[in-house]
Amino acid sequence: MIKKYIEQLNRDRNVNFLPVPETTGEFHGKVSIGTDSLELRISFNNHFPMEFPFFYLENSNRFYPHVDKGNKLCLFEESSLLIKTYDPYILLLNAFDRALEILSINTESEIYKAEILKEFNSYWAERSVLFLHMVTPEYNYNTFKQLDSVYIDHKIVLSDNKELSLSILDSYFDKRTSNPYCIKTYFIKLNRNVTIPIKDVYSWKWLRLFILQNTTSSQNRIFKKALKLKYKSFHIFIVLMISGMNRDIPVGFSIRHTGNNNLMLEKTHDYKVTPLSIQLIDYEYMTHKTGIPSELKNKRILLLGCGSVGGYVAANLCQSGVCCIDILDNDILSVENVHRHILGFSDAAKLKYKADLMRDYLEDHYPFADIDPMNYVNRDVRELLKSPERLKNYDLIISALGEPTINLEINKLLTERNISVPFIVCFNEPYGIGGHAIAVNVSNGGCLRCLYSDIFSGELITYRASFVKEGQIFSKTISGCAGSYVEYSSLDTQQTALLTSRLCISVLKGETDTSTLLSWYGNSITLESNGYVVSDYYKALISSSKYNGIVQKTFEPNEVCPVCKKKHLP
Amino acid sequence: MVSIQSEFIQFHDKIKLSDENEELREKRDIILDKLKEKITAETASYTHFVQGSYAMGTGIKPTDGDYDIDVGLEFDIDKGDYPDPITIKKWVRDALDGHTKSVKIRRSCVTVTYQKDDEPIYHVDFACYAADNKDQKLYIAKGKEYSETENRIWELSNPKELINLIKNRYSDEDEQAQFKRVIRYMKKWKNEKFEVSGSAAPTGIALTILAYNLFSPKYKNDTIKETKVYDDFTALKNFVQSILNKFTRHYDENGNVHFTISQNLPIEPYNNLFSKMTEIQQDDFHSKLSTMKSKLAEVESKEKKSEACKVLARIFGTDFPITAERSYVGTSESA
Repeated sequence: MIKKYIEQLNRDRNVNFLPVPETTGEFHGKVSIGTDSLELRISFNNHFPMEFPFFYLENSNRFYPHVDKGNKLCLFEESSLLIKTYDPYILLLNAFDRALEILSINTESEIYKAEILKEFNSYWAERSVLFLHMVTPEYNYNTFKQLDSVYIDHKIVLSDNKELSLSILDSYFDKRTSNPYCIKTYFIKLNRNVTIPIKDVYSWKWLRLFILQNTTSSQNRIFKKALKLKYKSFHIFIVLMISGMNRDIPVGFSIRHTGNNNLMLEKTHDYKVTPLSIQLIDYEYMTHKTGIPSELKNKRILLLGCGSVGGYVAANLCQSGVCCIDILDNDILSVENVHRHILGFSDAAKLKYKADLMRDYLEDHYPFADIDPMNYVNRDVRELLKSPERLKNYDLIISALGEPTINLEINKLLTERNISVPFIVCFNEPYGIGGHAIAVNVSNGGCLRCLYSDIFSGELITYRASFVKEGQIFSKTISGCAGSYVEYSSLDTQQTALLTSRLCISVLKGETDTSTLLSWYGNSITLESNGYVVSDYYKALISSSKYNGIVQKTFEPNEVCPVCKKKHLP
Repeated sequence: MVSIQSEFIQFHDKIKLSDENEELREKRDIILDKLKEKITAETASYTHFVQGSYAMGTGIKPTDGDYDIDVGLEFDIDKGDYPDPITIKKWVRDALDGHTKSVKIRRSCVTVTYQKDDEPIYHVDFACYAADNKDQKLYIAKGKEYSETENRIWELSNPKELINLIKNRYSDEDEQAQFKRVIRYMKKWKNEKFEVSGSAAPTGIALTILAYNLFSPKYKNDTIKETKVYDDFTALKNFVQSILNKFTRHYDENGNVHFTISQNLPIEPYNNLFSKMTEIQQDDFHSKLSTMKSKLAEVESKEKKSEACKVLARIFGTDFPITAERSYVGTSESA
């Protein structure tokens, strides 16, 4: 059957692909691209037609974008395509046309340059021997820096300062020594629109010239001075920052000389220069796939409570790019928390404070996380509230305490003292009936107390948007008062944490400017089978959806809310 | 003011009596069964229907256990064939005489008092109607056994229309429910404040029709839950004020102020429902309403729920719950 498709291709595209002798499913032929005649091999020895056939370039004499080290053409990003497997011939035809399209890219064209840059990292990684982790140093168009890459036991880190590099080696690679080996590194920003040619072999002479030709005069002066230095033997790195399509791309070179002569760098031109692959551990690079704006990086968050909901909220926020979180929680993680908390058994066995454990967890997972577990003598939130001015230090305060009394006190303090820091409160309701995230103290809308105020009298009542009928007691105990708990599952907690995290990010990005209530509701089977009763509000919600859903609404000040009333007094 | 809606609802649950009430139905059925059993074959056939406050959904529980049960008997007769309406009433009286504690022909009904063994005494009022008239209308037999002829009449009556009118006053179920609650509060107040029944107090139907005309539902929109939250206190307070506004002020020869009120039935025969009350009684009604109004104002001034409830209990009696202050309330929140 495949042979028939090839015969059809030969007719339709006026080519002459023939079976490769002593193989099955492989065909060889020539195609003309401009004046070039290129030899191609088409291989069906894959999952065709679940995927496109493979195309190999047999006689490449230069770099072609989308052609890997093994000369295989990367035709399509297949994972983003839905392939019509029922028409294999069209699949072959499309693949053939795409192969020719790739091979036809003019080396002088902008597309070619862009494609090279797109491919550069993977191309460079294929050819590199050494691997450098880099926290990109601060730089501008005119930067020429002489830095030290720190090497410990096959791990190399470059950053703006040695201390940071050592700390990264210690924290993330578990590498430490009292006497680290340093490799001199020139960190240079090249002129705009310079593309680095892709070659099989780079010489030091060529590289020196390339740098001199593509840097500013002040960079030139510094570089020339460096080239005058004499070494018996040396090992240097050069990191060139070149302009990419969306962001600058670092291109690294390793240059090594192990002779006995005292030679100036500029005189040593015969040594082969090897590509140095660079793995960025930059915030922007690591978060760019998330689509999260970098403004989150500098936001300061106060998280009150890192129990089941708070733990997931903290992790979500760090994963989403938030770096600075102060966590206040006075509980110790115990084994009975394990099946609801993001931290697991190995942490619970340590019998440490949740806040301290969360700090370790978050900083381990996210290198830019800067977590303060607020490990004061007294980690009680009420102690913090004795100095409400401290609340001003944050861009957002989140309470995952599940304690409405404290939450309302915070709400009151923020309002009374005119502290304009957004406040988000989150909590679960029992037995999977639902959970809530509430954002207040944003530009407009009601305060938290509004949701706890009887709409006629303003009297304090239970949460108005609750999914359970008021006045029921849900806490259970295994071993006396200290062990009391409310039943809800880890999934409930994650659901609540997810909504809360979304709301947090929306507030931090300035997208939420009116007090907002975001709730999810599940089914009432477990709750009711435990003898509890749902609220009329819940009944009204599920009337339109039998299973579960999410409800979002903004809310205005409750005219009888005692906190808002005070605020609006002249 | 403090919120006392839930106390009003508890109060209402305590005093309300609906047609669905099993005890009531049981008591009614005992007498209906007896009537069916004993009424002679020579009388015209009849069907019965529930009327009065239970039928309208505005009934309250009697304080003494003596349920005021109203049943209409529609006889398949043409009033023209029975010039003396007492004949019909006698059919009922004679059927049950000797089989119940007492049977009495009253002006508008036949009152059957019954007591089973040692159970509390109760009575059923049978209103007798001629239902097969040429004009297709319903006529109630009025007059006592020894009344003058001119007082023995067939009077045009439309109890079912009245029931429908009250039952369907509001198309919104919740508004209708508040309407009925407020009528019940007023009836309970009447029972508490007027010592004797008879003409000294406004009748239940008079209060009901006042509500039909003057009551206005009171609620706020809860924008969070997207529901209406009903405020019975304010609805009641406004209703009391509206009744007071309906009174007419008079001065007697000594310059003393007196108040009278009239309210016609909204359907035939459009009679004034306060016509049986003397001017002094109407004045007393006004005075008691004024007292109620000032007590309601006192409720509004209270900052503690228990204090507010105590004042309401002085208006409505001990059925009104007195909720003690609590410094805490159960929560369903946890994290």
